[in-house]
Amino acid sequence: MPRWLGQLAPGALVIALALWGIEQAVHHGLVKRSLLPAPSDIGLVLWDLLADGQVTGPLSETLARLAIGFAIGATLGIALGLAMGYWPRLYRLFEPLIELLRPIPKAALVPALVLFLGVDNAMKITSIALAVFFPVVINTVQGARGVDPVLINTARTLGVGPFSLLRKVILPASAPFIFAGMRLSIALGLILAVISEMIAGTGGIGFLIIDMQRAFRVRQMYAWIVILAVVGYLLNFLLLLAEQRMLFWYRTTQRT
Amino acid sequence: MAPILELNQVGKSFASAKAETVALDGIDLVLEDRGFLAVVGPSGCGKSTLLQIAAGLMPADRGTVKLLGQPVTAPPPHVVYVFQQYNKSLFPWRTVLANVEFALEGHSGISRAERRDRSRSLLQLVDLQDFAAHYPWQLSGGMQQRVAIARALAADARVLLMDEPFSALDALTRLDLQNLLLDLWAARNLSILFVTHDVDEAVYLADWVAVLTHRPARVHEIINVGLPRPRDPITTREESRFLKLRHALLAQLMKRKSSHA
Amino acid sequence: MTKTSTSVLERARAALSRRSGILLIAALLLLWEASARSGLIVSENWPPVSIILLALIREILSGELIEVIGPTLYRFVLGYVIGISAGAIVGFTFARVPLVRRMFEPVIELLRPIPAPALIPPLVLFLGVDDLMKVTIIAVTAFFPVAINTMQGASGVEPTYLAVARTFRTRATRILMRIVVPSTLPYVLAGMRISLALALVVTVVSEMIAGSSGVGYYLVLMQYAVRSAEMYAAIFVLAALGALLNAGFVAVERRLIFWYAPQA
Repeated sequence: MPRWLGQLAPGALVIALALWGIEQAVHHGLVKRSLLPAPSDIGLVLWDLLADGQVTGPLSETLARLAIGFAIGATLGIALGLAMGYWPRLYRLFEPLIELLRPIPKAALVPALVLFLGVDNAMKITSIALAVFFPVVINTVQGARGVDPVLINTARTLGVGPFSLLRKVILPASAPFIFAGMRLSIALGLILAVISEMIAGTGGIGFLIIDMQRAFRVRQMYAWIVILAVVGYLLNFLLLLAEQRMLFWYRTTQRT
Repeated sequence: MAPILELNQVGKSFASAKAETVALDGIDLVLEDRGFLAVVGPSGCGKSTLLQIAAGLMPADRGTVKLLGQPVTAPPPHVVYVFQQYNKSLFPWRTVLANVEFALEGHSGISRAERRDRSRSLLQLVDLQDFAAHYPWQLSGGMQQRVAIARALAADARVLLMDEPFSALDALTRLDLQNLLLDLWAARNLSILFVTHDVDEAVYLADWVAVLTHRPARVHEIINVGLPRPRDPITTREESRFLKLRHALLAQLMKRKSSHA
Repeated sequence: MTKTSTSVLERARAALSRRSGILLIAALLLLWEASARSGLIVSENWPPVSIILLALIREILSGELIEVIGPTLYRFVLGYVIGISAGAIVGFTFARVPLVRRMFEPVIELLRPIPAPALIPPLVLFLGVDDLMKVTIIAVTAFFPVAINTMQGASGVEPTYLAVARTFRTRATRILMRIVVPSTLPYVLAGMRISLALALVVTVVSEMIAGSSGVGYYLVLMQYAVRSAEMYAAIFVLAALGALLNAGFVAVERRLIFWYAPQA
């Protein structure tokens, strides 16, 4: 038996057994179909959603909001984080404010944001950007303040000005922290995307999940949850891939 | 010869929670143009602080630093600092070549191709032409410090401030790099201020050796080495003058240390 | 004695160095107050800070706040403790028993990327809208970060420590308890800290989506009732709750792993 098979087989077996067990339990009436349909039924619905392209509308709606919100939140977080890491005065100015706002569960802001921005994209994108912003800014500050002084002094004696220093030295040196923050953020951003659609929505995956539940279309509800899981998985995977590409130098240097 | 770098009555103190510690007290040093001045002293006496003040990385509390007669307040051009921690002073996300090129970036009027060419020829000078596409962390310590030196030269350095640059290297590599440094110093008309705790190294490399005292650091004396050049890694160290200087310096440093112990 | 006096001094100095930041916060609050009072922004959605604080005080005095926050806190603590305990046990088992890890890690990897709020609708079907559903979803949320971190920590114990122990002929159980567990602790705590923030979010969300008690429910109710001062007061309370939990966590962490300095 090849090694990789030995590694993968136990896990695959457990998953297969679990699915089969649920399938049997449903067929023999141990679990009500109205609570948990057979995995094969969910699979069929999933197949329909994918085959006739029904999936694209809600999927792209949720993804577009997440992408815009993430881009805004992460960009602002990185920019402010670098500036705060470099200029102690800015750090002292903004650190208490950030510490004050950080512990607010961002989901709690959704009702307030609804009052100002309505229930449409503006509100949803703002909540996502807010959720993304804080982990990114906090990690960026930590990374930028922790850059080895030897690295900064080297650049300074080579005649580098403050903006080049930020861009060419402090930004890449903080990148491992920034990525750590972004990986936390993408998960939070997705949570906020789903929540905002659930609370105040007319479309998107989050809305569909809660709408299907209320309509007792349980198979559809599970199918959308599966789709959401795949989205979550892929987003994390893509971010990891980008991280590995850009931070190829990081793990090796950590050891020395 | 004319002085290129002058430290005049330089003093520095550090405030801690309890008291103020005087790290440097009235330091007078002169580096002549194309000169090689070594500074030795017990560890923790403030040698690195001194060098950072000379580089304009840290302000002095008292006294002045002048480069070619001009006061130094920020890192001036043509003065490059070489750190002991080569693994921290090279950018791990840049290749060896790109690390050298870093020194040429931001200077308008140098095209990208020219930057590349110049960096390549400097790598050749330190015998690393075959490692241009490697990353610093793929190289040995000695090779990394060569990259740092090549980068300093790329910045068109006239003055090198070297902070125990070879003390983290193994003994043979150190000898290699000492000779490389002497060759470059002569060939490129450099002036070098070299801080070390290794008496051997100081005498072997320098024209003058300044001895610092323990805290607060003062210049105890300045010794004229007077050994003929070019120096040889083996025979120079066997000359009676070398041995005598080494003896005197070591005796002094150890006495200073024991009086504090 | 001297130690406390210096730490008080240091704290005073730290507070002073944050002066500009405190001033910024004060200025923003003033701006809020002024913009709401001056009629620059006339809106029921934008009450002055002073009105919000009054609403907050009123609710503390009337006992309504306790009534609102009690269920939230209860659900949160119960779910969090269950989730992190299960996470630590599972993570540790995975790290020490490779076969178990190979069998069950894929299941975990499959379930982990689902954003927790998406699981609320199906859980409502099974468990209803009351405490059981909420505690479950909070526990599920808290579980994953701790499990993953613990697994990483317990499988990455510094080999030198183990070699040292072996040269002293330390027994396996002792190695486990005296070396593996303590060196895993920082990772467990790091996971717990991530879980803390996530679990608080999910607590509020679960109350917003389903049920009839707790801060999350109150928040939505006040929004519908256009009582924005009360709504903001609830957000303030949540912020304070989050800050308190975090501060408590940091204090515990410092005591437990004072020896741990992460490699920067």
